[in-house]
Parts: sequence; C-alpha cells; structure tokens
Amino acid sequence: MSRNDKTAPYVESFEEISKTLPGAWLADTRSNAIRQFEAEGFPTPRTEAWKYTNLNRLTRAGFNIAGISGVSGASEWSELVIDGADTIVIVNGSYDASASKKGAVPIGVSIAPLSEAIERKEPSLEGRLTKIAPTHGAPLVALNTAFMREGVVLKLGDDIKLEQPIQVIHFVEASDTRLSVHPRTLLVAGENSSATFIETFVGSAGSVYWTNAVTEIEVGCGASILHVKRQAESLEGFHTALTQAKLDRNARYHSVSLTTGASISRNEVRVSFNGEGAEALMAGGTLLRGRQHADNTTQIEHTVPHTSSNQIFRNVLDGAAHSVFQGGVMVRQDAQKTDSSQSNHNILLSSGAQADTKPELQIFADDVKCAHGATVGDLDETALFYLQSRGIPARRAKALLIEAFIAEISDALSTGAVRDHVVDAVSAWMEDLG
Amino acid sequence: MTPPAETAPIFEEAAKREYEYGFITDIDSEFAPKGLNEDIVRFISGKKGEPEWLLEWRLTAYRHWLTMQEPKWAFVNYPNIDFQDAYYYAAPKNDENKPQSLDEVDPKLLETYEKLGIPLAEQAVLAGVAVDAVFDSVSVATTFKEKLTDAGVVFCPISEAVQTHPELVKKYLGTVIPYTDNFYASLNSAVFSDGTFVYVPKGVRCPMELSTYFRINAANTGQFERTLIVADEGSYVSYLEGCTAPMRDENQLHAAVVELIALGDAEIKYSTVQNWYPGDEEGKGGIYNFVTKRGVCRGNNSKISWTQVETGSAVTWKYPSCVLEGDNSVGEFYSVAITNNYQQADTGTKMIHVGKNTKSTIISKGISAGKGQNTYRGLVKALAGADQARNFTQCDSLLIGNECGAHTVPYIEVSNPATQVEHEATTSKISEDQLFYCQQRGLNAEEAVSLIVNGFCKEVLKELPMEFAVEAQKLLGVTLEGSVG
Amino acid sequence: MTLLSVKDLHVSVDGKQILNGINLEIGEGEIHAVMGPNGSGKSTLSYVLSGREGYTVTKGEILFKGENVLEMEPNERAGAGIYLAFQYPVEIPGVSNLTFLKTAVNAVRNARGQEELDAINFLKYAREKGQILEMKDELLKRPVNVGFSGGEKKRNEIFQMAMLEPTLAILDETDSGLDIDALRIVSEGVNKLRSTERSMIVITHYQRLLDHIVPDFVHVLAQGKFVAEGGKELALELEKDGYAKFGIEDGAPQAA
Repeated sequence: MSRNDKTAPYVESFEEISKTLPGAWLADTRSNAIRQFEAEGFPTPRTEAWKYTNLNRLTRAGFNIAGISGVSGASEWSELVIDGADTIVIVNGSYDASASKKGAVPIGVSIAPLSEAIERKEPSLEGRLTKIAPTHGAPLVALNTAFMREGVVLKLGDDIKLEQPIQVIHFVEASDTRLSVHPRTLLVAGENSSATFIETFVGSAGSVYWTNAVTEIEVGCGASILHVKRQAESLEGFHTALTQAKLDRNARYHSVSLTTGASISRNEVRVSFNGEGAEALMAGGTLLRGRQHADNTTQIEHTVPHTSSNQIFRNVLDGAAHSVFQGGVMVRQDAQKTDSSQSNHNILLSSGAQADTKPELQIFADDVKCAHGATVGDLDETALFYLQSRGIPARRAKALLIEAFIAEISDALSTGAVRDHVVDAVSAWMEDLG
Repeated sequence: MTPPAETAPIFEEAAKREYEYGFITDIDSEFAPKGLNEDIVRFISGKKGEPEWLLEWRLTAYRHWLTMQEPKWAFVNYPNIDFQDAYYYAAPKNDENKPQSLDEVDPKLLETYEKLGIPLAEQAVLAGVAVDAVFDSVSVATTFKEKLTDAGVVFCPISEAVQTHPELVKKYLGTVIPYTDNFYASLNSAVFSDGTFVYVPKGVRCPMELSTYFRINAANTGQFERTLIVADEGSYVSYLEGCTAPMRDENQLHAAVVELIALGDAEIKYSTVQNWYPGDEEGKGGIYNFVTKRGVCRGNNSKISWTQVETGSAVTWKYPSCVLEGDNSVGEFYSVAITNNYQQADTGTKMIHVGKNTKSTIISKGISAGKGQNTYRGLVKALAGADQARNFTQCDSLLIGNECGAHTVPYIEVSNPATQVEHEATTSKISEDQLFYCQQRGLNAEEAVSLIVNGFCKEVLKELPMEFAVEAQKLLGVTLEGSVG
Repeated sequence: MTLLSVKDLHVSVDGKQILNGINLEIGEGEIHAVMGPNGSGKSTLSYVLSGREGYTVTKGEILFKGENVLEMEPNERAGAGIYLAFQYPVEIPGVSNLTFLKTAVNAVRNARGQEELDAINFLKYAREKGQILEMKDELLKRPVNVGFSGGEKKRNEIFQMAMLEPTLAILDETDSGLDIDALRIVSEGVNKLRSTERSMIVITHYQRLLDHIVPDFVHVLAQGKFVAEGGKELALELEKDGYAKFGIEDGAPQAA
C-alpha cells in the first residue's frame, strides 16, 4: 500500500464532512492541515522520531471519522471516575451532557465543550487553539487539527486555585464501524492559578478504534498545573496523542501518566520554556502484556536560563510486549543554569518482551546540570528470594517488587483521590499477572 | 600518470605550534588520475598485482557504492563532497621497487617518521613496538619482521598479505564489514590502497605491541586504508594506530575500514590515537575522518577492546563496534573525543550481544571547547538469545566555553529478560572553583585545564599502552590550547 | 621587614561593597588572626589577596614584598609565595593528589627560579612533608579531595602548604568542620610550619583554633572593616563577651 493509499481515505472523508465540522472561521486552518497530512503521510520508522513505532497495523486497519453521535447507554467508563472530580464525558467523540457531572464552578473558571467554545469563538482560543501545538512535521497533529470536533476548553483566571480535580473521560464504545476520534483539549492557566486536570481514555473491551488526541496547555506566570493521563483504551484499540505545554516564568507543569491500554499507543509530551524559573516534571508508568506496544516520547526545549525538567519513566513488560522510551532534552545556548534529568528503567518479565530506550541530550550551553540514566533488566532475583524466605508467596513477592518499582510514578502525586486512583490501577493490572 | 602541480610548501603554517605535524614531505609521488570510475579501481588493483577474485570484489563494491547515498543522520555539517575531485591513489615513486629492508627506504621518509616521533630504525626508542608505516596509499616500512616471524605472527601490509597469505585474506576480508555495510565502507572496499594485516596463530601471545602509523602527505588525496586483524584461538595481540596529516586548506577524506576477528579464547586490544589535521581556527581545511571499525568475537570467551583518543580531524564519524557472538565474550569501548575550534565529532560504539553471558563496557568522555560539537552516539543491543548479557555505559561530557555543544544519543534495544543494561551520563563544565584552586597552587590557566581534562579522561587513558598514554596526555593539552581566556 | 602591606582596601563583589577600607601590615614570621562573624568579609579578604576573579578592588592597594599583587595572576601570586588554605577545598576527579602536587610544586619552583624535582626526588620530598601531617600514602594516591572526609581535606590543605613552602599562608576557617582530634593534627602541622620566614593570616570565627595556633596579633572584622585590633588576649575577650561587645550582631551560628 503506498503512502497515498493510506492517507487518501482520510482526505476523502475530509472533503465530505468538512462542512459539518464546527467553526467556519477554522475552515482554512483545517484544510491546510489536511493538505499537510496528505503531504507528510503517516509517520514511519524511517523518521528518527518514530524509529521504534510502526503504525502499519493502524494504517492498514482503516478507520472512519466519527460523526456526531447520540447519547450512549454504555457506562464502562464509570469505574474510572475519580472521587470528587468534576467530570466531562465524551462518547465516540461527542459531548455527553447527561453523563457529565459538573459541580459549581468558581468565578474566573470556564469549562466548555470544544464544539461550543469554537462556535462561540471564545476569546481564550485566540492565538492558542492549533497554535500551541504546531502541525509542521507532526502529521497526526495535522490530522487532528483537520478533524477536531470535540474536547474541552478549560480556562483558569489569574490567582484561581481550583480545588476539585477536573476529569475528562474519552470513551469509545463497541460498534460495527471502526471509528477514529480526534479530541482536542485546550487548557489555559492564568497567572498564579493552579489546578489538577485528568484525561482518561477508555473504550469498550475488545472494540477496535483509534483515538488521535491533541492537548494544548499554556501555564501562565507562577501557575501550577498537574496533568494526569490515564490511558486504559481497549486492548484492540489504537492510541496516538501529543501534549504540548508552554510554560511562562516560574510556572510549574507536572505530567503524570499511566499506560495500560491499547494495542499500539504513542504518548508524546513536548514542553517549551518561555520564562525563567519554570519547572516541568514528566512521570510515566507503562504496564504492558500480550502483544501490546507503547511508546513514550518527550521533547523538552530549554530556551531560557534557570529552568528545570525531570523525566521519570518506568516500564513493566510481560508477554511479548514492546515498550519504547525516547526522551529528548534540548538545551539552547542561552539556557544557562538549566537543570535537567531523565531516567528510564525497564523490567522485562518474560522472554518475548522487548524494551527500546533512547534518552537523548543535546546541549549547547556550558553552565548546566544535565544527567540521564537508563536500565533494562529483570526482577532482582535476590530480592525475590529474600521476600520468599520471609514467607511471602512468589506471586505476591513479584507483585510487591513491581509495585515498588512503579511507585516512583505515583510518588509524583500527592496523597488523595488521584493518587489512589493510579495506585489502584497498578494493583488491578497486577491481579492478572502470571 | 602525470603528477599534480604540487602546492607550494606551506612552511609558514607548519611553524604554527597548534598542529606540529603540519609539515609536508617533498617527495616524488605517483598518482592515479583524478576521479573515480571502474578504470581507477582496476588501476589500483593492477598496481598491487592483485588476483582476479579481489578485483571482482572491488568492482562489485564499487557498483554497489554507486547505488548508495551519503549518510546524513550524524550531528555533523560539512559541504557535499565531490568524489570525482580527488586522487584515489598516491604513492612515493620508488614504490615500484619496494624496499626490501629499512636501509633501502627513502631517507626522506625515514626523516618524516622521525619528525613525527615514530623512529623506524629498530634499535631506536620504540623498542618493543613493531611499526608498519603507511604513507599516503602505501606501506613504506615494517619493523621487527623477523622477530614476529619467529613467533609465527604475520604483520605486513595488506597488499603483501594478498600475495603471501591469500587464503587467510580471502577467508576473512569483508566478513565483519561487508562491502554493502555503509556508504564509506563500500567506497573503501572499492578503492582501498593499503593497510595492515595481522594474523596471530593459535595459542600465540604476540611478543610485542604492533603499530601502524598513517600519514597523509599528498594534496587532494583521499586515504582509504584497510586493516584486518585475525586472532586465532587462544591468542593475544595489542595493536595501535596513529595518524597525522599536513596542514592544507582543502579538506581531505579519510575513509578507513578496520575488521577484527577474535576466535575462541582470543583477545584483541586495539588502540587509536587519532591526530589528523583538524583544520585551522576558522574551520578551514582538515580531515574528514569517516571510518568504519568493527570487531567480532566469533569464539567463546573471546575479547575485543577498543580504546580511542580522538583529538584531530575536522569531522569525525566513527563507531568502533563489537559483535559478541561467542558465549562469555567481552566487548569494551573506551573513548576520549575532543573538539575545539570548529571541529565536529559524532562517535561512539555499538555493542551487539548475541551469545550467552556476554559482557560489554562503554566509557566515553567527550570534551567540547571553542565552537566544537561533540556527540556520543551508541547502540547497546541484546538479542533474544543473549541470556545473562550485561552492559554498563558511562558517558560524560565536559564543556569549556559557551559556544560549543555536547550531545548524547544512546540507543538501547533489549529483547531478553535476563539481561542487565545500565546507561549513565553526566554533563559538566570545568568549574571556576577548580580553575582557581589549581591556579592558587601555582598552575597557569592552560596547565590547570590540561590537568583537569586529563583527570576527567583518566579511566580511558589508563587503557592505553604505556608508550602512548604519555603522548595522548600531551595531545589533550595541545588540542585545548587557547580554549580558556 | 614588612612582608604584606594592605592599604585602605575597598573591594566589591557583583557591585556590592564588601570590604570598606582594610589596613593591614604583616611582618616576617608574624601570625595575624582575623576574626569576625559570618558575612563580615573574611573570605573576601582571603580571595582578594590570592587573586580570585570577580573581586573588584575599587580603592586601595596590596603590596607583597614591595610588589603590587593586584597586577598578578593567581598562579603568579602562588609563585611569589602566597598560599591560601581553602575553607572548602575543591575536588578534582581523576587527578591524583601526587600528580597535582608534582605539577604545582614544579610550577612554583620554576617561578622561583629553582630546579624542577624529578619523580624520585619529588616522592621523597612528599613523603617527608607528609609525615608532618600524618598523611597516609593511600591519601596521596587518591584523586584530589575526592571522597576525603572533612578532616582529611583540611589536612591535605596544610600538607600542600608544606609542599609549596609559601612565605605568606592564609588559613581560611581551617577549623570549620573539624572534630577535636583533626583540629589537633591540623594545628600541630601548622605549628611545625611556623618559622621566622613564614607569616600567616589565620581567619576564624571562633577562638578555639587560636588556643592551638597562638597569634601575635588579632584583628576583628565587621562589615568590611577592622573594628578592633590587639594582641592574643583580644581573642579571649571575644570568646568571653561575644561579638556584641563590639556592637556587632553575630550571624547564624556557623555549621560545625
């Protein structure tokens, strides 16, 4: 199948449905984006950034762009709701108002479904939507830009400290047609504001679909955002996502993700620093089994002095699973006093599993502290034996060690419902461990 | 063959102390016509009186090369190379009647090596080290032949080995690095002119260090040497290569291929002190050093160890690698790479773990100064059958000044759960505290930098044979001259 | 004869005035203690004497053996005979103490017009001097200050001083971070190095070091100026009454 054959169905769909997509004012942006997607095609391992992730199975499957769907009766997502969070539920790419549960929102905060925000042409979209995450060299972002229909726009005014977490649940239910959904999220945090924002991706067990998400985040001066991502897609599903965060002076952006779902997934996080004193943390746990493939890719751009970034990625692989970590840190010449570290550790539980890791550093400034480390190995035999000799059964001992290994990810979260949610998800995954 | 108009001797430049090997030897040379085509390949093969199979191999490589693209993935920038604008063969004139002993070698050549600190007279300083001297495209002298012959060790120019030990050459040439391997390896396979061949028989511990000294002299000439070292079962050999070139304004291409084969229980230690002309302070001139080096531990319990000190060349692109096929085999890579002024280096290693219980160690020290760009690029791969494979990698970068760059690109690919792979990397600069502390103890700024850099590189330098460790330490200091204000 | 003469010395760091008119005359063989609370400018004085970058002399002069040292690089000052024992000795990974000292000793000997020491003589010399400080051979082979305990670092500083034979040694809070035993070894070492041809500036926050290294003169530094000067009894007074007596508010207690 040539590149054209793979992209053509999407281009054709675009011609058909582009008029039904929200926001006439976005028409040019959308059509430019589909042209770009057509020109660049699906990423392939020939591109260094996709060296270890082959989308052939996805591109061969062929997906239909999800249209506007009615209210769904399915509630398989409900067990992923975080206690005390305001939830926005998006089913098959459409906003489900009846399933969503919003408490009283403080003055200065606005939460809106993307389609409504676009139709209203909300001022907060200006210069941000499709601008924070550029499409150039990112064909899947381009595809999302062309087709984005639903998602969430969350805006925090200056000095707003939002107490309750905001959770967006993207759910795709089983259907006969293979759906692709292209959710887009925009989070704008005003000066000195703070919030916890959770994105949950889930689908009906066994259903084959493709989520291609883009999340754009702007963290203002002194603001603090905790961005949690729970990827629990159907094990037959596909998940590609890109988050781009832009940090202003003294801003803090913490991204914590837990990946257990999807047949093939790619979670790319990009951070750029626009002001001194800003700090970013990216922590990601990936638990895979069967023939699952998960790719965590980061690109951190230190462009101004006195910023820090820390990446912690932990992967546990069972069966014939394949994990990829590509960590990118760029320190530009002006970015003196950068403090950056990245670590990726992998545990292989079975002989068919494979871990590829590439923690990359590019440094053009001399007065910096940059370090990275990576390991691949199996569980510590001595520790296993030690636990067993103290009367702990082998299976439990194994689980204990894995939980300890992955704990660095949940440790990035302070105590509370969000942390419990992540810890429980890890334990649940362990239940099925051989 | 018409010799090219020799450029005027650049003695003024040679007087500069930045690069003390920048002189040109005024010697009559014979050249193949400029450019590259099948006739040139035939010409080179004919000059060496090669058998038909080798000519055919060269031609196949050449035809394959024509289908290939120059690799562009490394973090190096240089203008496109016009492969038709270079000489692929240059040899001192009297090569026609090859000297039979050192007494017959052109005294000018002996003098050249003397100036480079490599006396070829056997009674001279480098006792205990046998030297093969390669001048442009040919080997001009090999020392200590007799003593080595007594031990059964073959140490000679590869062109000679083709004649004297054709079965060995045919058996091993191109088996580690096939002519299809990469753009420069293909080119080398087509046009390689000379290089060194070493064979150490079963159970023999080579009685002395072996060394090849490479010298590019002629202008507009590419150097394409090919080295093949075979250590038979239970043998041991330590080999060292050194290299220099005159200071010339144009860039010159050096595209060597080195193949190492260690059979069961054998060990090869390969050390390089690379000091090709790096170009001037404005980045003009210098050698493009595009080299493919790979060793295979073919037998159980074998070991290959690479040590390199890379101080020269305008652009360096090389990844001395180990394929660990035999069970319990060991691969090591110790590297110091310095880039100053406009030098660029993209270097590292590949450790491919195939056999069970294989071990590899990578210690890389990158130093960037001036506008230099220094990249460590390395692959550690453990295949499914590599049970209990172990790797440890330590990559440290040192930055001097704020216009240079230090980059680390490790690739780790593991398909076996019973492996342990560890990678660590740090980046630092020479702190003002360290500089002041040394200065307060009486050292000037340059001595202080040299001392601190040598300390930074210590783990690698201690792997070099004694005779060359001292030379390497001095080179580090010289390379960094002028890097601190 | 006057060895060091500091006149009306004003020094600023990053535009901030730290020393405000220091006057100090040191004769041959004299030991001067400079005492003062944290932030009074003690370390600045030691750095400006030894030539550290970033310390700008805005006014005044420093003459050493009659020569203007402000014109000299730090290594030239070391050659001339000024030695600074650092409050926080610096680590230099990979460089053994011996290699470091051999380079330093020969650089300094060169500067003083003496012949360089060859490897054998250097080792003999180092062993000899090492005995003064009870330096084990193993300590000489380890990388400079890497993995040294606090006490070992300070001992190493005095050992280096013995090796480099300065005419003016500045001991910058050599007592900080030392337990009683280490303090004894270090000060005994210093006392053995006392001679009529060697002067010292002993910088300290506390009196206790001066029980071991008894000074000829004591200067009390506050806000970049000497506010009191006298004999060794001044240090005892300070110990008894504290800095408050001189109208100085002591900073945070020094970390031991």
